[in-house]
Amino acid sequence: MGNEMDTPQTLDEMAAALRSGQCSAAQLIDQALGRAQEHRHLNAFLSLDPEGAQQAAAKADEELASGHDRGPLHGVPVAIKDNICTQGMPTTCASQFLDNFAPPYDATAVQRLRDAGAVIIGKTNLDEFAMGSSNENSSYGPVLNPLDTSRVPGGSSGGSAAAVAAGIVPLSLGSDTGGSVRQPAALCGVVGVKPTYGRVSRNGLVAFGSSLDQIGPFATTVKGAAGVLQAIAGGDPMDATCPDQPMDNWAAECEKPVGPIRVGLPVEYTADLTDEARAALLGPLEAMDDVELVEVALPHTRFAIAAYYVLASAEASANLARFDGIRYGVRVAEPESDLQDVYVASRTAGFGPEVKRRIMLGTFALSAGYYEAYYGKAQQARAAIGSDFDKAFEQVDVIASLTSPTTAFELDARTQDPLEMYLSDIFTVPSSLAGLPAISVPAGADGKGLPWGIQVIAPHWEEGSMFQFATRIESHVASAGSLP
Amino acid sequence: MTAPDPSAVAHVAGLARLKFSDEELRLFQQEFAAILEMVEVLEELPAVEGVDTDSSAPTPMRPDAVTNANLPDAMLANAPDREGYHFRVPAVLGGED
Repeated sequence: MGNEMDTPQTLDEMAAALRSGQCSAAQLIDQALGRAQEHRHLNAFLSLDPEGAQQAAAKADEELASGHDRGPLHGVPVAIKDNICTQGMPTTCASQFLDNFAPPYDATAVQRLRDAGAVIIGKTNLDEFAMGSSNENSSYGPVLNPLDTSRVPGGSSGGSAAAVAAGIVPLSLGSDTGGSVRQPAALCGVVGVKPTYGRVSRNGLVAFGSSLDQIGPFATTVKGAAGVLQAIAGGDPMDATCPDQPMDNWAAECEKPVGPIRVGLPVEYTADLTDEARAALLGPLEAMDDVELVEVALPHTRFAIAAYYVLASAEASANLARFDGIRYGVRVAEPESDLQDVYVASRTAGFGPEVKRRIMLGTFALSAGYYEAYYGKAQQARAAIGSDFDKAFEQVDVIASLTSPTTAFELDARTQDPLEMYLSDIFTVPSSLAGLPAISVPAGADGKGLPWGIQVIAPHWEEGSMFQFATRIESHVASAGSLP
Repeated sequence: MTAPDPSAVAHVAGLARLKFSDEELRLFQQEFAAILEMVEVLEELPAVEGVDTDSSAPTPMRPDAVTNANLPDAMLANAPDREGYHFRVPAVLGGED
């Protein structure tokens, strides 16, 4: 392979290089594994699988040589968040509880990536059980932001974001419950997608908040993210919330010439922004051709964080009941322990503080006497938030906001105050509650050179218009030369 | 809504099958109070008649057929304790509860 200048970096470049014979899949995988080693200090990976990856790369090369081309992901290195099941490879959820767990099956999304020819090089770090916004809740230590190692990469999919931002892999998978793909994408300066709820099967994604969880891709480009989503999306009999819905060719949508577009700016998302943050959002949008900016109202936004933490924690408290030390994971037992003792001792030893906090909050919210006041009210808030979006989309094609109210913050800056950490997700949680597709695209840098992300939210199942507008932002920002 | 007192926090911990030291319970109670204060904003939500929980797509159905293979070794590979093709568990009966 040529020198670093010639090394293919994006999905498109890799696909072209593999087919022109400029490089082999085996070389791309070795390069990715080498970079993962070089960037060990980021702590982005919890495990690497050089042997499995090299075998898969050899197979990918043989297939391409024999004319069996599986498409744009064939032979491309990818990384998978460690709460998504990979057969025979560790899947720890960054929890002591699952320190030695290797699932007996692949998640549907992982199986589909393999079928598309992608090569999995390893599993990425995260906040324990995907609960966090900074990747500081991992039992295996925090991930560092590749752009400034004194800062967090965001969370919970911090390892998957950092692996793409550091150039280790061009693509990765994360999971997003309240912003866990979009927020780290913004803080690391890469593209991250939360699809429509139900677009991607949750089969094999370790459950956190089942009515909110979605697997989504990270990539260096919007088109790359569109290509990954295309590969993993679509109905799955193993997930009753994942129906067959029509899909456009999203990578092609990214390249389509587009006409005028009406873009909603929710007043509730811009009211409290600093001048710098406001400029990061409005600068690109106001400078783009054929974009009509329309103020829209999402009046129930102020209930979103509260509703989210009640609902997600309630679901988590039920979902994490399966971790009882019987069938997998940690078991702590004294000789005289009975079954109840084993449950309590194993869970107490296996879970970290934030996971316990959320299980406790969820158990409380679901307990007798409190259910209506917390869970019932939160469900009503969720419905009202969804209805706000429905009304807004009668006026506009897509909605735009910042992805995160701040750029990457310093390590330890918010760990002492769970509430302040929860507010990191203020712009991503409402669209999660509404089940809408949303993407984060890099959009310029702050005074310290740290990236901002712009979030584009589209109506249910309309990922095509989301990708189209995101591509326009991407092109505009690239031509303005304002990226870090 | 008021934050639960230490004994109520201990009760919730029991329901959640978690155990905390007295010191942890005390710290936890403070954090819990702050979180619940944030959540109290929900009281200001105007009453909504009949929450619409319909999703935007129909629930897909599938045939009620056995789809998983018979793989006892794979299923037991992660067992913390096993005996033959069984998960080994502590005594279920005879505990104090």
